Amino acid sequence: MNKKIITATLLISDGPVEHSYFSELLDITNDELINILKEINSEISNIELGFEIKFDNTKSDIKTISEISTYLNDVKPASILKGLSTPALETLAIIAYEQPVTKLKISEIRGVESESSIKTLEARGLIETGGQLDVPGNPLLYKTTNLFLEKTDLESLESLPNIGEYFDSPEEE
Amino acid sequence: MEVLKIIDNLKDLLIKYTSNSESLLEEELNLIFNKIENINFKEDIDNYAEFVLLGASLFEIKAKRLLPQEEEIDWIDEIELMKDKDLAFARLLQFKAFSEVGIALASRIKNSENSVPAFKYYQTKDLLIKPDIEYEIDIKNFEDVSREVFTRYKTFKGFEHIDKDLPDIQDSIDELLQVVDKRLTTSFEELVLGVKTTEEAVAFFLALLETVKWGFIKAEQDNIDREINIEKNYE
Repeated sequence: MNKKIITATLLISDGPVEHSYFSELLDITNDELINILKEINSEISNIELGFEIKFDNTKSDIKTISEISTYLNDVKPASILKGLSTPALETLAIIAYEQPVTKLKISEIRGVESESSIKTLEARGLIETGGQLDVPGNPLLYKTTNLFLEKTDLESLESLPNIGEYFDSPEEE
Repeated sequence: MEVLKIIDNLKDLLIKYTSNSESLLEEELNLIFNKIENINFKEDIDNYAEFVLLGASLFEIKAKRLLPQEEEIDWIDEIELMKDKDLAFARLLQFKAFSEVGIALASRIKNSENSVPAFKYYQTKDLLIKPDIEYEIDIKNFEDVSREVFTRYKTFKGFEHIDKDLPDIQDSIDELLQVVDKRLTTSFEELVLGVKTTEEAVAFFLALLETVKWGFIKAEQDNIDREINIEKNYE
């Protein structure tokens, strides 16, 4: 019964479902839930279906399996990256690592005005405003959204790699 | 590592230059330049970048010293300039880093989009019909609400001044002009000696500003600690 409820909930839920929701609804521990999710994935895999439950320690969601992604190009939604410029990606990186951060700080780091990049990222739902800085003028603070975590496949902001990790050379390793 | 050794030598030399000591050793410099010529620069990019920065700074200083100089170089300024350059270089590195991280994040997003979440009616919450807002009102309620609206502002913080019995500026102007007419010269401090409240003092000060502006009186204050002297303007 639990498997039916979990799969049905994941199918119709509005985005990933927090594990705490299932734990409360079905009166099971997180470990028990993860075991059930593994069992479901194993059963789905045995009958060779094109989707599975993607989960981490805190949330889960039904997603298509990645090896068939090229066959889904005509039906899957457009990438959130479509039309996203390099300056917008720079801005996203700055907000991700410096958040909560003001527009001024972003522009200082980039050396150019960043208004349009911020607007684009906001429109895509990757960033949002999160309060105001307590200084004269009260500038808005920007932070990343849950969609950003979902899209970058990160459990939380704490799991963002250290910036240095992007630049580790094989020699240093 | 050979490059690191040379960079250390360059740093030492830079410190000697910038400290304005006379210990510049031409031989030491030549030795370093010879090493630079012989070295193979297929080392890692970080060392190379640091070397280029140090080398450029050294050459710049040397070039400046070769120019005819009428007066001593201000080494403090040179150090400040170098600090600014370091800061600019650090910012460039920071920007470069975020630029690379942005691309790395895009790569993560691209990978994660290889698996697509089940189709969700993301907007269902908004598509649901909202319940009607029911608010019953009759004449009595309306009267109560109106009374509350028209009296509520008095309870709001920041609106207390509306009903406050403040002194009239015009009265203060008249009074000020009368005093000045009688005494010919006076001071602002004398004028406010008799007032009882801060508001009255403020009204007198505003009256003073207005009458000066209109040219009825002259007001002078030698410095902030002295009295404001007031006299009638006969011009």
